[in-house]
Amino acid sequence: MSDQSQPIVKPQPIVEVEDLWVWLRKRGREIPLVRGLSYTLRPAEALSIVGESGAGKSIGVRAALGLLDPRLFRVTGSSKLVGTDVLALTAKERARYVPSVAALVFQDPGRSLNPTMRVGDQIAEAFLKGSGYEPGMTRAKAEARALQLMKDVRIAAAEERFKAYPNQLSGGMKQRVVIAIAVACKPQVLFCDEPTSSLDVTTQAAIMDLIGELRDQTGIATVTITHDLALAASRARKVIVMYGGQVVEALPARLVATESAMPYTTALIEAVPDIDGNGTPPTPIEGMPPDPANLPSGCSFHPRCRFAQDDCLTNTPELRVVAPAHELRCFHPVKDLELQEASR
Amino acid sequence: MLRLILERLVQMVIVVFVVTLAAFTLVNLLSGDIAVYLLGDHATPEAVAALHAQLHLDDPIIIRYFDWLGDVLQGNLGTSVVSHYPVVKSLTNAIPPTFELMIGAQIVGITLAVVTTAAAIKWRWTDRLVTGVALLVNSIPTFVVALILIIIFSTTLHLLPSIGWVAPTSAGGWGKNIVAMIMPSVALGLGIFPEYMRILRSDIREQLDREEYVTLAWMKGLRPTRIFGKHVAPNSVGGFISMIATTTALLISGVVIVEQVFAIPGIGKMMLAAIDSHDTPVLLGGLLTIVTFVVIINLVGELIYMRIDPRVRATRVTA
Amino acid sequence: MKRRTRLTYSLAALATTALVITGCSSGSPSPTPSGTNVVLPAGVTQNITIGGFSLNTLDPGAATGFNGPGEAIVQNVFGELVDPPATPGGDYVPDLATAWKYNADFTQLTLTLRPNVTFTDGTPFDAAAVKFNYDRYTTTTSRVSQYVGVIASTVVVDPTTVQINFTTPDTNFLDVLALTVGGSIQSPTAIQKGADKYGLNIVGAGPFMQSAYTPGTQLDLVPNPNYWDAKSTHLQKVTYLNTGVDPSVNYQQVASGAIQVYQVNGVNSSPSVLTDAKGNSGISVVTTDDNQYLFLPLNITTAPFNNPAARQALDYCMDRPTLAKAVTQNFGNPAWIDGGSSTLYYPGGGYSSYPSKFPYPFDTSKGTALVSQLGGLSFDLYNMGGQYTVVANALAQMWKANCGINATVQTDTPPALATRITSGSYSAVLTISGGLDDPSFFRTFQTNTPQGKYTGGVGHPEITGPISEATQTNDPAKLASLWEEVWKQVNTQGFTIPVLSGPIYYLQNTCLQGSQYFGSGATYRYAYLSC
Ligand SMILES: Nc1ncnc2c1ncn2[C@@H]1O[C@H](COP(=O)(O)OP(=O)(O)OP(=O)(O)O)[C@@H](O)[C@H]1O
Ligand SMILES: [Mg+2]
Repeated sequence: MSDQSQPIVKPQPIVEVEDLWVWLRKRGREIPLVRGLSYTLRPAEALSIVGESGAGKSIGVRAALGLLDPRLFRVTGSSKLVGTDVLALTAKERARYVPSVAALVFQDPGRSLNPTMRVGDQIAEAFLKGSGYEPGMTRAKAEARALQLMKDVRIAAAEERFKAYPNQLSGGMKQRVVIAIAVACKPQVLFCDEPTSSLDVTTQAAIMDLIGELRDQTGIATVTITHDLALAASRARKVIVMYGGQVVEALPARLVATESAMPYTTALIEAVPDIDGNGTPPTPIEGMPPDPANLPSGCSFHPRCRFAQDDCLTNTPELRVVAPAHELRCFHPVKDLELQEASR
Repeated sequence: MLRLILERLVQMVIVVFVVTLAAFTLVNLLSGDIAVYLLGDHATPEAVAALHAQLHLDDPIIIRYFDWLGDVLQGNLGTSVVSHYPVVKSLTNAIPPTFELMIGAQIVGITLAVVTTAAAIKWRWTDRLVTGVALLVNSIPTFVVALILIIIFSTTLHLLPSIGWVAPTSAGGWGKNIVAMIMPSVALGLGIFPEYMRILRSDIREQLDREEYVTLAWMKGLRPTRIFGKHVAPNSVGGFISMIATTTALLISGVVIVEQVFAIPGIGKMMLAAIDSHDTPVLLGGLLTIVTFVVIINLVGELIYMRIDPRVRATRVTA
Repeated sequence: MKRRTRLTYSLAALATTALVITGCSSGSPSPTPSGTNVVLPAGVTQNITIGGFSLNTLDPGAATGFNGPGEAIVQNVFGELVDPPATPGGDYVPDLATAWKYNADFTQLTLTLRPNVTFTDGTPFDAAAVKFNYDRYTTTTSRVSQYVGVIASTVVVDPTTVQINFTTPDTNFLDVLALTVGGSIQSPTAIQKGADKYGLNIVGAGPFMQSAYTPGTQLDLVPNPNYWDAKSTHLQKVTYLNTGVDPSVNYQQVASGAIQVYQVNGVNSSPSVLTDAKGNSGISVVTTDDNQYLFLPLNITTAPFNNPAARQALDYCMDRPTLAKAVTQNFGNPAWIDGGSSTLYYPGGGYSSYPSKFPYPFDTSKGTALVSQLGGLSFDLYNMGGQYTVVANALAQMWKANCGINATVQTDTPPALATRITSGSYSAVLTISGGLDDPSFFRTFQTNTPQGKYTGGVGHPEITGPISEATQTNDPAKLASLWEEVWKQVNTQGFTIPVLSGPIYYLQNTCLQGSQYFGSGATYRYAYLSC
């Protein structure tokens, strides 16, 4: 993979996920939920992972952070965060290491905060008892920092809210608190799992803006999971499209509207109103996402694919580079990119 | 909060009313002619008639119920039909042992539940072990558990007394009192611990597996003990407490059995004796106490739950 | 004085009180110890606890009073006017009465009272007190009245002499005085003061006095320091405790030393508990005379048992020895009359030879023939108080298997069953009675209670005649021939069906000595712990 637009001397990657597989252990069987996920991320880069529900986006992120319970899941491959493969660490080491380099923001802010603890305490806790601890830390210092963070993430009347319980805050405000907690320990990468899907449209934008600002100001890298390809395309540098636990297309965000070639990606574009700005009404994708316990033969997408041919049923497509920074898993792309490449 | 208490108090009055009315009706319908029974087979018809008049047995049940209720509202629970012992006095004798037994059982039940849950969360094999043990214990009737305890600790090892109540005011004081309450409390506590453990275990499991604030806490780099103590346990306590409150009602049947086996002069035993001798005022007095107690415990449980869990507080207060 | 005279008080055992064993027994299994020359072991606290207690009032004379096992309990407080003979066939023993004398036709008994005795409230125990008690017992309709109903009047002759006049001759009254609550003399002052709460705080002139009482739960007795024979009383505290009705629990309580005594009934107790107790070296099992009996009073006024063939079928189809073995593992015995194997004047030359003379011995072909002649036999078998479920089920099964008789076992609350019996809406009730070897005590078939009208010998002079004659003699030979006739008639008619009999078994700590046993209870005047 090479991207001509990057400078020759690249900074060290912060995230290097390599051939990540996740199996669910279920009644003696192992069901593949994520199949060979790979991506790399450098400081201040923004990656979006897009796909329908059940595509394995969340599981993939949690696996990369070493969060999955080994009694329920088997994880293979590697996930290097700032140079260290967290999957090779012991549980104890991981619990110390991961929080110091990475942070996670969840989809439902209503469930991400401890309902029995005041929000200020939940932030301050990161300084007092967590990875944000520094020698000489006191409760007063921790609380001052927490308050400052609340102001940084633009929580109005932060002093008042500091003492509130989560249920006394709105969804957007809760998500700001979660973000405050996430950035408290100065992580180098922020994973956001659908950070805005439970929020209203204006709040969505505000939260996404906030994440963008954090990235610009601190140089933090972000991985954002979303269903919304339009959002992904507008807020990220790179977009990964997942289907049935696999990456089916990866491309620079600015090319999503014009260059995406996997029928699934184009179907996603058509399913979203107005990404191409031509006013065509959205067309939902027919059929259901595949059941990981019972994957279709050949290309996982073929039962729903308008362009499927016989070989899609029998042969399994590999991810191949079709253009600079553009990868594809398809025998019959919507656009013949290699031809374009060749003709260029 | 105040509104909730008022609401519950109204509910409580209704529950107490319905339960005592039902009991009153049942006791009077099912037991035949109490006068004939009380007086024995040599009673003359005049004596039977006199007792009928004295106990108002010829009045319609509903009128008798309201007579009784009227007396109760004036603080008069009546006297035993057989001994003429004031029901209030019987109750003041019987409440402390029963109360102590229930507290003891809750201590045993909660301790066992917490310890076994901790074990169940920690390792897989201990999980299997304690859930198996809980299932086993759950399938043994309280009566048999009590008997086994007596056989082991009294008859064989001579470690603990099998007669379960020593008034703390008596010569032995609290020391003897507590020693005597160990086995009854364990017998009763063993009966409730499997349910406590089942709920607690699945609640904590649920939180550990699904609740994102637990993941967030982990992502903050907190130690496991801190995660458990600050983020998991407090969120289980509320539900657990309200479950303890509900269990109190279920505990009553076990109380009757345990009091019988260990000869504890509590409410259960008092009511059993009242049933035996068809002593309606004593029976109703006991029932009134139990129903009131259960309703109050449930209210207290709910209030504690509210104090602990701000979510509930918010919804209940605005409701 | 002859050991046994007659008592003509009916006991409607089939009615409500039947589940409480009535009456008392003849002598004790071991000779009554003289309490005076006991050497108490050093360092042993002389306190005992007796399990199984459940008295809800202590005054047997109250309208809601009691008889049965409670009698022995309150006798510890009230003492006895006369004591039963120390050995079977011996003389009655002076106690609170020092002498007694019948007139020639047994219609009057004169008692000489022990002088200078006081109740524990300090009031005098004298002739006036005795009169007060008998006037009370005969005018109230308590359960005591069944023992004293024969009294016409009580006359104070002088402070230590009292005369009891009977309505008909009665040769049994000393048994009443010695063995029943009919001999309980209570403080008139305390009765009057206590009014309807007297039963919570009883006062007598016996060896012990009440120190604490919670109805139905616990009774504590301490020695009466002014008892006339106080030097013979050794226990410092006697506690009666409600330990519930489960035999296996109570056995463990005795085995662990929590209680010292528990009594079970041979006809419906758990045989496994008795077997365990016998094998336990720390427990002695004291066996009384076999005089508890389980029987089946039939309602002979309505179908099906107004037909003698139906009554006979029950006998023909019932294998009593097999039942005794199956249900009681031979801790109980087959019953052939309404009495136990220790019953005096046992017909047919004694218990062991009578079964061959039983009119309707076990014979399934005869029984089956009778049932088919009746066109089938079905009835509800009421199980008194739900206490005899095992026996009732075994009986029903036996009748069904042997002759196709359909007996449906039913349980009713005692008051409901009392109502049912009073109104005659029943067919058969399985119930218990007994406690005394003298059959005169249990003449249910001759009863004059309202409940008795549906059973037995009421209106059958061939039965009531010899019983009435038996009340006027104390000649053993004559009594034997009269009772031979009574049992012959009763069994031939089949008004009541005898089922099982058995003794009472006392499971007690081997250290406990000197208890005095009655058919349905024990007293502890002379008892002590030897270790
Ligand atoms: N804890 C779990 N136990 C069992 N199966 C799980 C678990 N978590 C996820 N899965 C399964 O793994 C697959 C991928 O789930 P994942 O949560 O990664 O989907 P997603 O792409 O994040 O979807 P969404 O957009 O709905 O969040 C799904 O089929 C899901 O059912
Ligand atoms: Mg997800």
